[in-house]
Amino acid sequence: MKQEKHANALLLELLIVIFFFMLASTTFIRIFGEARKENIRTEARGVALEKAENISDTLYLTSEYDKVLKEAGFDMDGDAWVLPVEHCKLAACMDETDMVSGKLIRWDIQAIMDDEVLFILPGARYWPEVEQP
Amino acid sequence: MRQRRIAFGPGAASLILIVVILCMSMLAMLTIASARNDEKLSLRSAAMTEDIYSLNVKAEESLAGLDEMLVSARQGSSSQDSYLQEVSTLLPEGMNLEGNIVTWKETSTSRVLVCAVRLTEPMENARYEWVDHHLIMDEMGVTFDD
Repeated sequence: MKQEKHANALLLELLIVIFFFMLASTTFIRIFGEARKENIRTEARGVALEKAENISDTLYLTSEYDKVLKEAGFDMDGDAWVLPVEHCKLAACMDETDMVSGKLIRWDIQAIMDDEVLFILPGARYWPEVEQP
Repeated sequence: MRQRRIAFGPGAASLILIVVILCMSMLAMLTIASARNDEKLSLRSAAMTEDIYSLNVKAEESLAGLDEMLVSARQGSSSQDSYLQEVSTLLPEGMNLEGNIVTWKETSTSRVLVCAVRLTEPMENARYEWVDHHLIMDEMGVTFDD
């Protein structure tokens, strides 16, 4: 009789422990999930930033931006050039302004992840028109 | 030989649960703190890069404005002196002319981009050439030359 009571108490304790463990687990899983999401976002931002800097620096060197973007793997999507990178995508918007003295090419490279903008890297290059003697 | 029985008495399961929860809490705290710190660093890095590239954009826009003015200044000048005189009167705000060198600064919250171009003679094809383009970071007193 005494042994049976002891077994019942142990079983009850185990049930309570399992219940509390499950409660705690839901919180821990949520925390670990949040940390994982933040890590993925951080990694994506780093990779995209490095890629965007490289593209922006290359765009600075040439006025034929279409060629550069195509070579970098960008595809035209509406008004923007889009390139999928790790966990996010890069969207480059180009703008060309003709001036009396030359032309000013401006661009914005945005990194977008799940409709959230991670960063916007602006760029510009002025190309003067060389006067003929 | 008598075999020793391992007894699983009352309270053992609760004790194990407490230890496990404490360990998991520590791990969770470390994980989330590390992830947050990494994200902060990544955000700072992105903000710094954006800031530097924005300064460069401003410099290019200022240069475009200056060059547009140089075109009109060249039209009414035949000699270098009259050209420089015309430039000094038409010079955009924020720019300085010293000799034949135009200097200006682009500023953001903690960085300054110092720019300088040398004006060529009116007979030359190119109207200017870059002579200085360097970044000064206020918070660290660090200077980067391009």
